[in-house]
Amino acid sequence: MKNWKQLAQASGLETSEPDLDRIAAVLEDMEAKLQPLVARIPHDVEPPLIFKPEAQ
Amino acid sequence: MTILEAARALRAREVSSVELTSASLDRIEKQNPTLNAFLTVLAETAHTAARRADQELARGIDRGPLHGIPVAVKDVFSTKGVRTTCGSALFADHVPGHDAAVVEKLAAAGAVLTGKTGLHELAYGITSNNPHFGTIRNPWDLERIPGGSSGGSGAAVAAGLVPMAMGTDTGGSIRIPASFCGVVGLKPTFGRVSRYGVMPLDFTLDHMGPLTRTVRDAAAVLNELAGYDSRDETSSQRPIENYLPEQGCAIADVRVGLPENFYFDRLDPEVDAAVRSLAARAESLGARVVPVRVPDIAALNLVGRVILLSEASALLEPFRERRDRFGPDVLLLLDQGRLLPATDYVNAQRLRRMMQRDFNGVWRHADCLITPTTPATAPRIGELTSNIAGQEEDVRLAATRLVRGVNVLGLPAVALPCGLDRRGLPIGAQIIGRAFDEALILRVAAALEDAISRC
Repeated sequence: MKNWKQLAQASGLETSEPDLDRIAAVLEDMEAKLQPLVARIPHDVEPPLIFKPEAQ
Repeated sequence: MTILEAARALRAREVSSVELTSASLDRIEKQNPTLNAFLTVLAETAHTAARRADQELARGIDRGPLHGIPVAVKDVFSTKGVRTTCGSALFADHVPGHDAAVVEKLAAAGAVLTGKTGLHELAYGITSNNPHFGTIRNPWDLERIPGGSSGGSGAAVAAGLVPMAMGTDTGGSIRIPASFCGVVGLKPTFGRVSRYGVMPLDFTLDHMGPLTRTVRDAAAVLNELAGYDSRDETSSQRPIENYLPEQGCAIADVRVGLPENFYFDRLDPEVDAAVRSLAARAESLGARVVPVRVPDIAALNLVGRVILLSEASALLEPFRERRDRFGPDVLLLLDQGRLLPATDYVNAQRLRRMMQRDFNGVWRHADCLITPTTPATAPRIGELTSNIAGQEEDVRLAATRLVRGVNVLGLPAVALPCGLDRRGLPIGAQIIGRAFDEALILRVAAALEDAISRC
């Protein structure tokens, strides 16, 4: 489990304690739901972000 | 008057563009102090454009159904020489040097731009309760939100200030105000309408589309806006088609999917009943209504939130030191996005790819889906949570619950009104289609709209 409040403070985020609590609660919830999904991604699935060297 | 009614009247010389535009500007002048739907009114240039349209039509130059029609665009579409604020204090004095592709196309179609509509700050939210430019109000009940982020466009069309206003949709921002304001909102497929010149909220979720009073008006607008634009790297080169449904269009050949899971969970009972009644109406028109199971839409929504938080925060990173220039709700979202690790973002994009494949399976059983647009009607201004089916839910997450996933998949969807609740507030339904199948969802929506209007 990440300590989101410490991460926020380490990244220099200047916000109030109540806002920090709200941010941490949201991120904790999202991370908890995301990780089981991430664990099921097959290794060969690439993100739909393609760099085209010929494109301008 | 709808766009198509006005277009017919213009050609029959029953009305002029100058008369239509003057009437529109009069309504804006009278009602905007209450609604706050418009941030900028362009009366002088609108009158000039209207006179030009009348002259052209008199000379036999006909640019199509938008010719001479007063319209508006959300204040994220760049307008050359006209302030484009994005509803943000950061851009309060920003005057672009070029028009957005959508603005160019509307001008080429002869539409008369009456002004620019207000929105949720930076198009990043669903209330349109803007801390810098004021609260936008819902014409159906002035104490309620119009939805957002395209709240000014929804309010303007619902109040009859203009027959069409453009919106943008990153997580439901066209369809939510359409639902709350009782109008039609079309989110085309990603890549169908150029994003060039639109101040972005997100690189891979932003869509552009119209809010109108009828489905056929939305289709007529899409006919003018669709097409490839080399200036937008995500613009599709797929051929465009005629999106305008015929009068009396039939849907007997269509398999309408009615989701068995997710979309009808935790709804206001009146919303549930109205949308199921609409599906029954589709069946009475000959469509085959089939129950379908959809993939994990809650997971799809989560993926959408991770992508949006990450991309929006990256986009606004240059302004991170100017915290006093953001409203509190937007600032909170930007702070959340800054803290998300890059690995989460990349994996959310990989999950998006997987979910796209999963969702494609739905189209083996149905040609489109019919769902509610929002789980309840418009909340009161200032409400942070809504009680929906006995459960308290964050207003933003509730409003986006049934619409965000479609942005992640880039699919087309049209929201249309399908009834009123006990308070007399509009209820919205959503029809979702395969990628680039706007013609089909508009045909189904038009047939249902026709059937509703006959009752």
